[in-house]
Amino acid sequence: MNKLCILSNFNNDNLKILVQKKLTTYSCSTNDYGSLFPFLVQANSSYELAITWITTNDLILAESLNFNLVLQLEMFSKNVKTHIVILPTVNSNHLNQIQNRDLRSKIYQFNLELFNSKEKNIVALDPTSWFISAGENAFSEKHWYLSKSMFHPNVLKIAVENISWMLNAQQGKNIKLIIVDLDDTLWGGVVGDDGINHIKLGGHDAIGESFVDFQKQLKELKDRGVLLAICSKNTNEIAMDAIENHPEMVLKKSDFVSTKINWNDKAENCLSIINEVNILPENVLFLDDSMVERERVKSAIQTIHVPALPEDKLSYTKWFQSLPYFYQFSFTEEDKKRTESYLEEIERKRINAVSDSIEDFITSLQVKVEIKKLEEINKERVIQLLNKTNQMNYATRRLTNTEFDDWCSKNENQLYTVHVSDKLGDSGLTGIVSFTVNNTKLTLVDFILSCRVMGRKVENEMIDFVKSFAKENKLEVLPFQVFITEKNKPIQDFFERLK
Amino acid sequence: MSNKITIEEIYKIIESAITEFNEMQDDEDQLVFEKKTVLFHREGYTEKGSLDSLGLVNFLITLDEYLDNDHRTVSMNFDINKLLEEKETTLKNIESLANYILSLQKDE
Repeated sequence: MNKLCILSNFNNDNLKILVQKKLTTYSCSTNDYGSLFPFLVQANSSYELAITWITTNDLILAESLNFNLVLQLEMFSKNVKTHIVILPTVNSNHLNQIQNRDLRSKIYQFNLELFNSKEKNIVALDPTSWFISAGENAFSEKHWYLSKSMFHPNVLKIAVENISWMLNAQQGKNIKLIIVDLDDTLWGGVVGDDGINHIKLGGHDAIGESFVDFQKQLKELKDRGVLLAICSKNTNEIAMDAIENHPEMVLKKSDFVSTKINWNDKAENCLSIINEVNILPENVLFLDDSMVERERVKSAIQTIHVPALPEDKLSYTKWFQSLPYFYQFSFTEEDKKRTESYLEEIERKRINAVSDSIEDFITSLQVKVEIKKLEEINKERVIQLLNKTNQMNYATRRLTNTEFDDWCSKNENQLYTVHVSDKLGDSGLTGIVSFTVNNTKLTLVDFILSCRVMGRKVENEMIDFVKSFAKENKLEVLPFQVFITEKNKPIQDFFERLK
Repeated sequence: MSNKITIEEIYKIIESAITEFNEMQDDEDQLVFEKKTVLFHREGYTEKGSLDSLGLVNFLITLDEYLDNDHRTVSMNFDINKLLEEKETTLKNIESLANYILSLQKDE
């Protein structure tokens, strides 16, 4: 089992129990109460994962002891694959609620140093929204004075949920597609009954304003690479009229990769969207104000995420901000253009449907594939592809920045990036080929292609590239051996066809 | 409608508190809702209790929150600190705890 340690100066036994229940593949240990600083200094074990919870009390204590906490956290991180540090916040400790400008300044400085740490395996988490969600008892005096547990179990439950999603995001298992309803989800009221001029959206209306803010949240996620789609029981023309012509609509038709606005079963519509976009249901979030529709979708598509929206529509935005689904470790040009890329892909599928053969289709697309040596500017995107791609992934190697740098620094290892474009658009860096050369033998290490460009024979060009490289350098290509996972059937099939 | 709470209603509150409390417990350390469930585990005693010190504190705080949320019990003086000194009497089992809560009402 992977080793995990939970560290803090407060009693973290409650946190340990919840972590053990959620992260079942780890064996969990903790430090003793009040022993965080000596533990950081003396630790000599290595851990797959460490969770360190820093409070404002710790900053005060560190200062009084002249203890460089940031430095010690960084030193400790050298023996940890992923080090989650939960940050102190201005409201994070009931013992220090007084308006203390100096203390606030220390908190901001500490957090900034951690965010900018040179140790790239440190993941800093801001718990402010957890405290807000947990409510007035977040800092539980009773737990503190009776057991030295600083936070109410509700805070700890939210913390563990967030940590779990953060780890999911690291492995590419975060939410990639949000399917939304329209009436009472993107705007207030029922557009079919109330009409475009009477739905609640913007204007001098509390609920209307709250829906505009909620749409802004979705738009922000879309701009960070999360795809949006609509699944609504409505008359298509009426709903599209509101989307395209209501002056306060933040989201436009072009923000959605798919729209299913009809009177069909929502579960069927959702499945149709998921298949169209080619994303696993576990990476999909469904938002609908109707409990009946939520239950229907959840029962039909079991791994989809279907949170209950709050009854109070004014609290949609606050509720949405508290969801743990959207951790992001990197942000690349490809993320920004994701919606546009998917819309281009839908157009490609349309062209494919009317083409006589796959060859005709590919020829008509004028696909261009460029394969070039890894450049520093592309590193972030390459690490993202390594850690997020499931279906066309030969080795399913998941690497931290440090591990990636280590691997690339060895002379025998070579990594090439694959850039794909066609007449409909530029898909950008969408593939990786890497291999190790030992004497006269070449071993394929990574062969990764984003599902967005699958089916355009890019994978064949990648294999041709490997073979040409081997030929030019007089190398023997060792037999390919796909590392089989539950999710990489497409690459298994591709290599099977090569035999 | 009477503001008095019955022993059966107190048991219901305790049962709800146990359900929530168990979310914080390992699967093998779940507290069973039965009158004779011994709450605190003491080394050397033949009767095996369910909870260690931290578990007992967590359970009592959870129960306290449930009592605070019921208008009939909100004003009771449910003093956890004092209760922790009565592990062998008031906190012996769920039945003795329920009777204690009922007695707080009678005292008012």
